[in-house]
Amino acid sequence: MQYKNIKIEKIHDNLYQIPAFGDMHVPGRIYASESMLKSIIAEDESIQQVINVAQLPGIQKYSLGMPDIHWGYGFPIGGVAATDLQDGVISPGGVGYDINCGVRLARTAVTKDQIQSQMPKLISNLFRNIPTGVGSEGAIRKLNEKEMQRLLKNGANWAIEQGYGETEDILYTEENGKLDWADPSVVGHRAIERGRSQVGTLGSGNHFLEVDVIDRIFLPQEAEILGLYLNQIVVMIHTGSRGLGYQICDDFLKILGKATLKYGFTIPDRQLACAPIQSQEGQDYLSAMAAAANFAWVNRQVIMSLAKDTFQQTLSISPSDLRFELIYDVCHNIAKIEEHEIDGQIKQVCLHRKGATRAFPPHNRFIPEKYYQIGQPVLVPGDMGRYSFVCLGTAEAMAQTFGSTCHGAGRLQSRKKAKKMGMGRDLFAEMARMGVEIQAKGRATVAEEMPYAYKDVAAVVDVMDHAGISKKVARLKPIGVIKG
Amino acid sequence: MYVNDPKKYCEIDHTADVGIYAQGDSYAELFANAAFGMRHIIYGNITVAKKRTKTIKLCDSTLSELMVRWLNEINFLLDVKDFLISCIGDLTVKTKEDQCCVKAELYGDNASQYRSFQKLEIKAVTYHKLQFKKTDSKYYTQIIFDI
Repeated sequence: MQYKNIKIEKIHDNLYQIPAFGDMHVPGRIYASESMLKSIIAEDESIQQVINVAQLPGIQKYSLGMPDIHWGYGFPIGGVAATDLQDGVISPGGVGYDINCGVRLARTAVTKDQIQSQMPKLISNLFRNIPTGVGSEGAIRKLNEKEMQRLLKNGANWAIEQGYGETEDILYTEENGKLDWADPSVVGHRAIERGRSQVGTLGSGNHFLEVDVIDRIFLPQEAEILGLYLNQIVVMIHTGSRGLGYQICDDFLKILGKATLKYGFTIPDRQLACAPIQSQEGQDYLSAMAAAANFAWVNRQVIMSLAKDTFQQTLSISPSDLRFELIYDVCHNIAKIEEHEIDGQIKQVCLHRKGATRAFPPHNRFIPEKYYQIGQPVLVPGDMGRYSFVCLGTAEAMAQTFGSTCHGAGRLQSRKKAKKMGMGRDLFAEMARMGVEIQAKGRATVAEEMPYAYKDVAAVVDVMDHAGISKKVARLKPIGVIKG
Repeated sequence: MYVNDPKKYCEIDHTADVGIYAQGDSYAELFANAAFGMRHIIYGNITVAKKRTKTIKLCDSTLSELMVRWLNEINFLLDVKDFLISCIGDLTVKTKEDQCCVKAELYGDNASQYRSFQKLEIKAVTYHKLQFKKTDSKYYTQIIFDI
């Protein structure tokens, strides 16, 4: 297949390679089916972005694109890159504005039949109790600066201390809900200001809380270990670090823009501003980014707790009967120091995952004991009408993608086009016909987020399943959604 | 005084995000119209009262950097200080070899009063495909927002 003047090599049915040329230090690799790759090439400049990322100093093995790859700022969304810890760089463009945007999934002990009649009331109450949409302010009072510092340092533990959730939720959160190297002192005043009143808010755009029913099981034994069964109700939450994360990214794009010049790096895109990981600028970004990641975990922890309370109150059910428990929480936008095998040696690298999910295999020390035999849960949300997936990480992921996989469906249509398509239609009724009860701040958001605006996430998940990178365990069908 | 004129900017379609294309007879007018274009993306065409004022003074190394900073500042005022612009007075943009500066008096109202009109939230103003162009006596800029 051709991209501009470049011949893209087929490695196998679900993997294509761009040979290193020009200023590329490593080849680019894209996980996609042939038809998917054709669409990717036709749609946007994400292939060029894979090529650009391959030019970052210290990049190891490959510049990777997941099957849900699409154009992003600097890195593509669905981009993965590991840089050498000693000689490599870190780039905010490899993380994105919404630092630690991620997903968590909680199971319940109730089935669809048990709650079907109460869905309108449940969704209405969730919408009332969980702050959503633009300008939404937190369920938690506006925090003072000292409390914000504690939150940014302690991550999800802070939320548990405040009574939002159970201690064991920490076990089922990537990195236990806290990056230890977070340093609030390098977070700018403006970022703190933007985050102070947004703890426990869902935000707008593609963020959501979804009530799903398990409608397919692909791997029964693994599903049992995850506590999943057919017709069971589960709850998925998708949000990130809100204004705090956006501001940190913006602040450091400027600082690292100067650092790029200072250290004499030539980069093909201003949004790929970077600094040596070991430089003061690089370390400061890493520490500030970690603080934003901790904020995001607090955010998802608080929202999950609000959702749990709402379920209990609406369904008049005791905590022991509801058993609203966290299955797992994954990051989609993050840079972390990890160890990976490169050229037969274990090496420490800075792993950038932007619109990609960690997918560690069975017997890995970083995943909870409960999942030790099956691998890390990977949560891949689709659109709000069709389905989402629960998958598991594999040894192949460690060998091929630095333990990374896809993160979602990706947009098919621009927001403007989606809104135009929705004109004159009763979108709420259409969603109801699909069996989805929906509440949102505005009709415009619903129009932008209609299923037809997104690609089919099943095709994305299948590529990674067939490539052996992450295995499908269960499919989730939305029956209720709240959006900003 | 610069006031909102929807003929001076337009929305650019983009798969995941959104952008504007703005024009002006001077750099000052261009900066004003970019600010109104950003407001249009967030709120649509609304009329905002003049009840509060904010003074902005910013300098940066290039016009591109200054434009991003100017719009980010206005977005920050909206997000954190509950300030929504109505019109812009005493706007000057000065360009030198190594530094560009913008100075303005913003007039506006409490953003919370207009919450029901708000369509989206801008995460940040980006450098992606940021363009400045001068043809004849007109100035143009293109800006993409992460939403």
